[in-house]
This record gives sequence, C-alpha cells and structure tokens, in this order.
Amino acid sequence: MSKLLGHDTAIKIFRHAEESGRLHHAWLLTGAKGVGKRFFADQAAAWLLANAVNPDVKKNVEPLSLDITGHNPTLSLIKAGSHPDLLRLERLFRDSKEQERARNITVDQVRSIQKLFSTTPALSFRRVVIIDSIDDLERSAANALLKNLEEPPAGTIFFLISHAAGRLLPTIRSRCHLLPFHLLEDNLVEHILKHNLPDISDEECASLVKISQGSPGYGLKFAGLDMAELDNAIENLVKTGDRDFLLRSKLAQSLSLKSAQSRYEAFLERAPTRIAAEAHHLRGEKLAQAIHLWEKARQLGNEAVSFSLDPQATVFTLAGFLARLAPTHK
Amino acid sequence: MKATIERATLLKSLSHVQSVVERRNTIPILSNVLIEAASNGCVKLMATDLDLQVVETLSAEVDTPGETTVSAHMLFEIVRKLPDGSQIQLSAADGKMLIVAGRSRFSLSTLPRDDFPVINESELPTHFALPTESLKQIIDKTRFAISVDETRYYLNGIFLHVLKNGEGVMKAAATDGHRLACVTVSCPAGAEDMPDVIIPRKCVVELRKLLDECEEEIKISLSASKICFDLGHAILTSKLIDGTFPDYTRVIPTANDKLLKVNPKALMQGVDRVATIASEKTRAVKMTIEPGKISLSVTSPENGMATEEVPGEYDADHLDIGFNARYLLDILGQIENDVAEIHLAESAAPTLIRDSDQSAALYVLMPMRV
Amino acid sequence: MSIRRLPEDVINRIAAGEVVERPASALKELVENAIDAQSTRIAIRLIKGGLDGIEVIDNGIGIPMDEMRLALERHATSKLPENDAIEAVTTLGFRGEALPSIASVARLTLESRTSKSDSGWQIIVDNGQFEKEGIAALPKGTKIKVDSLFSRIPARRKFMRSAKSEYMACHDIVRRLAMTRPDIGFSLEHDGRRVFSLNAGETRQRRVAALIDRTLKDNSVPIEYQRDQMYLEGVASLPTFHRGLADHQYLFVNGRPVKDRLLIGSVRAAYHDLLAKDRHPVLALFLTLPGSDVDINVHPAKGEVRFRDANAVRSLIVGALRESLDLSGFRSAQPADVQAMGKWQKSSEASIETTSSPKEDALHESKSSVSDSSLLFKAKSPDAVRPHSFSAKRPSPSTSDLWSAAAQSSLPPMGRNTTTSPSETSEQTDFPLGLARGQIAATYIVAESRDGLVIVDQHAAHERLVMERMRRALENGQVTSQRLLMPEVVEMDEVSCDLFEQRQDEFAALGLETERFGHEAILVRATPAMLGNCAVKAMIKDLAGEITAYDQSLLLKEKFDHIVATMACHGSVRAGRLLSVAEMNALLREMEITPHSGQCNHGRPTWVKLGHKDIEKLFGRS
Repeated sequence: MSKLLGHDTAIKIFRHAEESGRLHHAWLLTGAKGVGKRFFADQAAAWLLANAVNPDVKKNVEPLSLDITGHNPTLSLIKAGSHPDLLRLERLFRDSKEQERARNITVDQVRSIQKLFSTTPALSFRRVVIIDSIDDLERSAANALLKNLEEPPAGTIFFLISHAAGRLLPTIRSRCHLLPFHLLEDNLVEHILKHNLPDISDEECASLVKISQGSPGYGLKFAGLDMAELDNAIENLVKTGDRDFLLRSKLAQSLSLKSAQSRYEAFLERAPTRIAAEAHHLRGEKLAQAIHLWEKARQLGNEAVSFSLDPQATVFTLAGFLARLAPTHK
Repeated sequence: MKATIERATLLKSLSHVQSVVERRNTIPILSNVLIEAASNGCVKLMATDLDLQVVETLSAEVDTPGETTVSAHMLFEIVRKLPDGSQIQLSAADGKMLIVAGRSRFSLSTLPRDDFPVINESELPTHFALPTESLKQIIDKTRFAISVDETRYYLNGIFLHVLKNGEGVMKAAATDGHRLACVTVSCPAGAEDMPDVIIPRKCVVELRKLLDECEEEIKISLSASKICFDLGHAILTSKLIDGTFPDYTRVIPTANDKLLKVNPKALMQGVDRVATIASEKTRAVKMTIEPGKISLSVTSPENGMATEEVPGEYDADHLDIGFNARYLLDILGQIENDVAEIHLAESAAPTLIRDSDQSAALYVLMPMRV
Repeated sequence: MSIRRLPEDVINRIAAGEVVERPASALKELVENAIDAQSTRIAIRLIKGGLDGIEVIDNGIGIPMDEMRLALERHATSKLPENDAIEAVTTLGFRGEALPSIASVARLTLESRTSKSDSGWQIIVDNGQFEKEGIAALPKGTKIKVDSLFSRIPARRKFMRSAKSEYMACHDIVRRLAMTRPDIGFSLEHDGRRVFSLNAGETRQRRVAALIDRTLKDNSVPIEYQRDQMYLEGVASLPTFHRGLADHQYLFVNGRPVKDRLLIGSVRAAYHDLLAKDRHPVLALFLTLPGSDVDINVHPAKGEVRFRDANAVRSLIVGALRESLDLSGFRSAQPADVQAMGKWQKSSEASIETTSSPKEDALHESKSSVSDSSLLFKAKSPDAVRPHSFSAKRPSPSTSDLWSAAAQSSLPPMGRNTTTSPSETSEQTDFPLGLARGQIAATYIVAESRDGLVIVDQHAAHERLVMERMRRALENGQVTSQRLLMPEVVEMDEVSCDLFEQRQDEFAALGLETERFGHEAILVRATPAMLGNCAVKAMIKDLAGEITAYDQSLLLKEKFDHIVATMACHGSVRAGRLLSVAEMNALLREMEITPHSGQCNHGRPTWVKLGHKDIEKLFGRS
C-alpha cells in the first residue's frame, strides 16, 4: 500500500499550507492508534524534503496525494535511514531483545534534535523531525523538546504524533498546529486490511474490522492471532459473569503458554478496550464501577509486560474484571 | 564496476576517508565508503558522517566504470594487510564487491549507491583561495580554544569572517568562554562579501590532518550553510554550525595599560614547574608582578606550596593576578618570538597576550580568583 | 474500651479494601491484634507457609465472652475512640475488618479468656457460617487458629504461590512486627521447626540484628535523635556494610511498618556520598511523631503514609543518619568470618580485572597470590563457606578461572618492608588500626592491632583521605573561581531569580559569582574553577530548581563532590607503589581521625579486619 486512504482532508490542509507558503513549523497529528498518522508523517516528510531539493517533484503528483511516484533520491535516503536532514524519534529497541521497545523516548533522544539543529542542513534548506509518539516522551524529554519547538531554525518542520492529545503538556499543544485524523469507515478498513493481507479469510477479516474500530493499523497488529476466538471468550465472560471461574481459568491457562505470547499481549490490549466499550452502555453506579475496572485493567495491562507479571495470574485477574461487567454480577 | 589500483595509493586515500566514518553506526550505509570509477581513469572514494564529507580522487586503470559502496573499515583493513606493491583489482556486481590482489580474494557485500547521502559541493557562491600556510596558522593558533561544551554549540568551532569596513582583513576566532584566540590575515580576493561562518571542530581536525600533504594554495568555496576545501587530491565538504558567534571583539581589551614583557619559554617552564603541585582540575597559578620580576606561586591544600621567580620587564604598579596554568601554558606555547607581551589591567580583568603589535595572532585570558 | 459497631460514615471514611489476599496478610492482621491486646509474648505457628494453618497465641487482655460474636462481624472494633477520630489512631489494626474478613474465607477458631473470667470461650466460624461455640480451656489471652484458607474458593487457592514463597512473606511480616516491639517476646514456628524465638525486653539494636543479620550488631550505629515532637531511633549499618538490594531497609512510623518514598529518599540522601549508587545500607528506623502530624490511612495495606510536614521529617532523618555516621568516624565494617573473605575477594577481583596489560604482569601475579591465599582460607574453613544470607555472592566465571590459575601456580603471599619487629607490638597497639607490619602486592598495607589483623587498600584509603581534605578546603572557603570572558546571561522566572539572588553570597563562597540582571535573568561572571568549563546555564537552572524545591542547595555540593572525587582518584597513591613503614603508619593515623575514611569514594571498604578469634577459626583452632 503506497497511498494513504481516508485522510483526504488532512492531505488537503497540509498541501494547501505548503503551497500557500504559510506552513506552520509544528504539526500535531492526533487520532486513534493505527489510523494512519505515522504513514502521513512519513509521506509528508518525504514530500517536503524532496520538493525542497527539486520543486518539480510535486508537478507529477495528484492534488489529493502526497505519494511521490517513481525513482527519487530523497526517498532512497529516507528508506535507508541515511537522510541527513530527517530525524525520527521513537522508542528504541532494548539491547537484549530486538522485539521489545523501551517504555519511553528518552531525554537523550530528544537532545539529538539539538545536534541536528546545531549544524546547517545538508541537502536543502529543509529539516524534518518526526516524533512517534509524543505521548511516549518522558517528562524531562518533553521539557527539553519545548525549547526546540519554540525556536526551531528556519525551514524546520516538526510532525508530532499523539494518540492521546488530551494528556499532552499544554505548552506543547499550544505550539502546534492541530491536524486531526478521523476513524475510517468499516468498508475502507476492510479494503485496507485486504490490501495488506491478501490471504486473509473473510471470517478473520470481519473480526479484525470489528477490532480495528476504524483504525486499520490497530487491526493489522492482531492479524493471524485467531482473534475471533479470543473475542468470543471475552464476550462469554461479559455475558455470563463466569460464576464458577471456569471460563477465566481456561483462558488463563491457554494464554499463559509460551506459544500464546502474542495472543496474551493481544488480550492485555483487548480487555481494557472491551470494558471501555461496555461502559458506554452503562449508567450510574454500574458506570462508576466500569470506569474503575477500566482503570485497573489498563494499569494491569500496561504493567504486565514491563514488570513481567505472571501471565496466568494476570489473565485470571483481567478476566475477573470482565466478568464483573456481567449484568448478573453483584 | 571494475578498476585496478596500486596498493599504496589506495591505502593512503582510504586512511583519509575512513577517519571520517564513525566506527559504531546504527545506519549501515554510513559505515560504508562510496567508490566511483569513471571512464577517464579516475576513482573517487567518498565517506560521510552526515556532517562532514571527504572525497579522495586517485588515478586507476578503469575497465568498467561504475559505482558501489562497501564497509570503509573492512576495506581499509584488507588493503592494509595486502603486501606492499600489489595491484588491487576491485570489481562490483550483484550486491558483492570482489577484491583481488595476487593470490588473495575477498568478496564483500555492498549497499546500493542511492542510499548514500552526498552533499553537493559544486553550487557554493563564494570562492577564494588561501595560502596553505595561512590556513595552518589559523587552525593551529585557535583550535586549542574551541569549546567542547555542547550546550553552547555555537562555540564548538572556528568563527571565520571578513571585516565589512573595507580594511581588507579576514579574522578567525575561537573561544571557550574562559579564553579567546584570534588570528587576522589579509582578505583573499573573492572573499570580500562572504557570509560569517562557524566551521565545526570535526571539520577543523580532519582538515588539519590533510593540510601537511597539500600544495601551496587551498581553494575554498562556501555558502551560509556549507564550506568546501579543495586540497587537490581531496575535497572536504562540511556543514557549518547553525548559530551566531558572540561579538568577541568587545572582550578584546584595548586599554590595558600595564605591560609585562617576558620570555615565553622561561615563563612556561616556571609555570609548568610550580603547577606540578596544583590540584589537577583547577591548577591555579598566582602571579605577583613587580618591576623587574614576576613571582609565580601555587598553593594546594593537600600538597603544599611552590614558588618561583621569573625575570620580566615591567614598570607599572604591583599586581596580583591568578590564571589557570593550563590555559596560560596553551597560550604561551603559541608565542613564536623570544618576548611575549602581556597586557594587564587589574586582577579581575581580561588580559591580552601576543607576540607584538605586528603579530597575526592575539589571545585574551580571563583570570581566576585565587 | 469494648467492641461496638462502627457508624456507617466511619466505615466509609476508612479506605476499603480486600484485607485477606494471602496467608501473610491474614497473619499480619492477627499479630497486630495480638500486639494491640497488650501481650508480652506472642507465639506464631505456620503450616505450609500458612496455607494449611496459621495459629497466633498471645497472653494479652483477651476478649470478653459476650463480645466475641461481635468481633467476628464486619467493621466492629474496640479500637476507635468514641469521637471516631481516625486521626488519633494509635493502635495498629483499627478497621474492624480483620477477623470477619478472614472468617469469611477460612475456618477460624477463636478462643479467648480475659483476666476477669474463670474460663475461656470458643467460637468456630467456617467460611462466614457460624458453626459452634462453647467453653474452652486456655490461660489468659487469645488464641486464633485459621485453617483451610480459601478452601472453598478453589480458584483463589489455585493462584496462591508456593508454600515457600508464602512462608517468606509471612516471615517478613513477623520480622517487621517483631522489630517494632523489642519489649514483646516473639516466637515463630514453621512446619514444626523453630525459626526464631526472641525474648521480651531486648534492646532494639540486638533485636534488629537478631532478625536481619547477627553481624549487623557490630557493624551498625544506633540512631537516637529528637527534634521538637519527632523522635527517631533505630539502627543503621556503617556504609561498608551494604547490599545490592534495598531489601533490608525497615521503616516504621508510629510502630507501623511503612514503605514510603520520602523515607527511602532520605536514606539515599544521607548515604549519598558514602555508597555507590547501586549499593544500599541496611537499617531499621522508627519514627515517632504526634498522630495528628501523619496520615496512616492512605491505603488499607498501610504501606503508605502522608506527613503534614514532609520536609521536617526528611531533614530529621537525613540529619540523624549523617550525625550518627559522622560520629562513627573511621569505623569500617568489621566482618567476622566469611565476610572478611568476601570483601577481600571482592577487592582483588576488581584489581585483577583492571590490570591486564602485560607491563603490569608482576603486579598481576602478586595480586593473584592474594586471591590465592583467600582461596586457601576458604578451602580450609568449612565454616566460612557456609551459605550465608548476607554474603551470598558468586564469583564470576572469569574470576574463578583466575583463581584456579593462581592456585596452580600456588605462589605464597609475599611480605615486604617488614622492618618493625614483633617486639614492638605490646607498646604501640592502642591505635585502632594498629601498626603497619608490611605491604603486600604493593597495594595493601597489613597492620597489626591489639585485637587482630588489619588490611588496608592503600589507594582506596588515600583517595578518600584526599577527598575529605578537599572537602574541608571547600568548607573553609579556599575555593578558586574562573572568570568568564563573556558573562553568561541565564534567563529564569522572577521567583527563581529572587531566590537565587538571596543565596548569591553563598554561591560566591563556592566560586560561583553572579549578579541579578533585570527582573528575569541572572548574570554569571565567574564559575568554580574545579568544575572546569561547565555548562553554566544548565547548572544555574538546576541550582535554581533545587533552591525552589528544598530551599537548600545540596546540588552544588554534590557536583563539587563529584569533581572532588574524580580529582582525588587521580591525585592519590596508586596501587602498586611501594610505601615506607613511616608512610604507611602516617596513612593509618590519618584514617583514624578522618570522618568517613572507612570506605572509598565508591562505597567499597578501605580496610578490613580479622579479629584474633576469626583467625583462630580459620585455622580450626577454636
């Protein structure tokens, strides 16, 4: 997939700003995880850097696209990670495990922005910084960023990705131009999923569309994990309340197997989301309880991997939270 | 690509370019050297650290023109170990580069040339030439004062500018906030309207390494964002520091009326001796200056104290002043004459040191409170 | 005070929570009840880590027969005063949740007899259902038996950890509670085995040492400190007696075990220049302050507390620890047997790792011989290698390789400079660190004191002495400062600038010369020369932040310490330099009068001592 689908408005706003010469220096891309913000940031960065070298590049691109086609030296450099004027900040991989990323973007990483800014740009007047995501910044890193955001050198553009813009430092938000990314229609999500997973069965695709809730990137993460079955189990817990503890014991056992690691992690994400979804239908006392459960589930879900909690006990507890949503549960 | 190069030539060029490459690089292509073989018998080797780029040109027997990139360090090590006098054949195809010399064969994996970032050095508006000796002087006399404090990144290089008052001089300055070094040379033709630039430390260091093997004149071209040194066999292109150098001319004292004339070697030796007992980090040397003599003294709470007298020519009022011994030694080491002029005002004021009023270089040193 | 129902609003005011998560939490509630019942002796028996049975027997005031049923109701307690002032709680358990909560998930037998009644009464409740009651024969006091915990909740039971891990948790709880009350005798039995038995009326230092590590008694300082209405007492290990984990730091507020960031931070601050970052002291601190100055009801597990004046508490703890450690002066840890070896091995390990260059071969060899000798000691002394909770430290593979290599070459330890004759011993051994007898491996000074053998790491010791001297120079204001070529303008908000300006003179005394520059900036004219070419802006801002937070600039001192430590390291006697006997003795004498000389700047010991007894033990003569 080389075209960003479903975000024509964002593309239009951005291209208009660029072409009218009034490009804001910091863009805050907000919206749900997996909806297409990073994809946009990467394309927009390439667009800016390529056009700064050769203004003719944009002539061959459709009006509602940022997609540069054909061979372009800027794209090669970005792909190889060797573009001297582009800096991407994201959580680093931990040394020991290639699979696992650090919990935060560190203040040292943010300081590398200063290094980029301390010398002149190499290939054109443009410099681009992408931060994915700004929510991952440690507190001190956020403060360090403020200085760079305030007075960036001329020609520098920031793309800050945020999945929860409400929690950002107001001082960061106020320095940025907000670019919201909306959830996609289910049929568009399905289209994107099928484009990325040509071999997917209709049943799994339907399940993933449901999980995506408008964010195809989010759904893609769960591809191949038999989410239909896991969702069934979750629904059963919520429906029956699991009074004899049988369902949760079974689930805990099956997810604690080494081979089920990915599904376990999927469950850690799904459980709080499911509670949140349920909360929408509740009122009064029940709603308060659901919010409380959601907070606890979210915290446990976050801590489970970083603190290496025992998967079996974690699933058991999370499943307990889900069961307490059941209407019959006191 | 297919080319044959004499080992010694290749080794020398490689040693130049590979010193730019950062050993531990997370981006694979940046560990590589770009090799371009042209049909006119020219082979170019290029390396970059994204801030600084070196291109070495050497002559070779080119069978098939082409280009590729391989690990700079690996290639250097291989060439280094091959026997002297061997002819080395490089040929690249299908993601591999074959190195053949005598009975040795190596096959190295390559990365595509398009991934290699190249700074274009040809479009810089200002051109001028400096005598190699002038450039050496500028670097040698100022680089010890370049700041290493990254938070003041605008001091991490040599500031090069031309006075716009028509005096026809070019000045180079460096400071770390405690001392300042400044060299003045006559403005070369073509540089009159050049923008002020700050040349980063790494560029200065790499440039200096190459200068000893250079011809008489260095062609320099620059813009507000790049500088390029054409050394004949090599072209060094660097980004500049993107900042404003402070107006250092304000801190060069003009009214220091107490003049001390002293033999720099004698003073250096004296300072060096008494500083032996100073605590390592501070190394404060106190100078008590009276007509006819200078007393140097160091007091260290843990080691005791040391004093020494050095003869000097001085006829102003008695003055006590403290300096960081290392700073003082650095500056005195740059004085070429048998007499150094030290212009003093008072114990807390900036002190001016130079050969004479004819010399190109001058130094300003801030005292210590001891 | 008799047992009564808590009013509804009080129930709500008290943070609710699951009381019984595991055997340890049930045990904690039961023992706290026993303490509150004015007992002088509490006996605890556990079966399978408490999973199969918990029994707590006390000799306290007992519960009157007619109140026992009420005691098993939720939120019934005798411990809240009439006016329901939670703020004034002085007893340990108060929520009235403990017994009924336990009774709802286990079979609970409650037997009790007050001093007034002739016989005891017994009530049995099984998983919340009343089973039976009747007369019971027992002496004055209360006996509670809990069995089949969670037996009706298989899922819960299934998720219990192993009996061993439950036992560890129970042990920890009893240990903490026993520390708070040296006046009460405690005994703990697990699966029929006596774990410990502590007599009533012990001193605190003895009690704490008995519970953590017996050798702590000789390697700790007692803390006793009072400021206004706050009183701090306890036991703190010397900086050389440390651990890789902060797991033996017991903190109590008004007799209640707490885990509080503030307290942990204070301990760090007190030891900050005495211990390496990753080493932790062992201590037990007991803070007493008026109940109205602390909120202990933040969380039902009672681990967290909130102080009305957190800064006062922090400064009390830091001050008390610093003062007590300062008073202890040169004292380093005096490891008894295996610890001396442990420490010694550690030093030589580090040296071997750093001296691999060929030109230092000779040094290497002689150092190996030190390890070698320690290896021999180990082998000949089965006692000494007995696994010990405190020095369980496995040598890295590379080290053991070196050891075995050294053992093969079997070089004897070499003595040097043994110019003093043994006959002098009797005259001059009143020095705590003794008289130098020689130097081994050109690295360690061997000295003989009246009560044993002292080995000093000359480099580490000298480094520390130099650092302390430099610190004194700083304190005496003999500081040099470097003036700046261009004064640096640091922009900050007005409040920070105001605070900074107020402390301008103090900073000047440390070599940092500043001036106020308009409303929102500080102008820096000179910086401490020791800091070299430092990042002025960042330092000023850090300092200002620090002043705002604590109104006491620890930070500048810390930065100085760092510089001083580095300098000291370069300016001290290197390992490998031969010293004359006079030099060695001078070093020893200076160590005796210098505070903190017992550990080097990285928190390792500068000297170790083997008592005569320990030496005898090593040779199997005792």
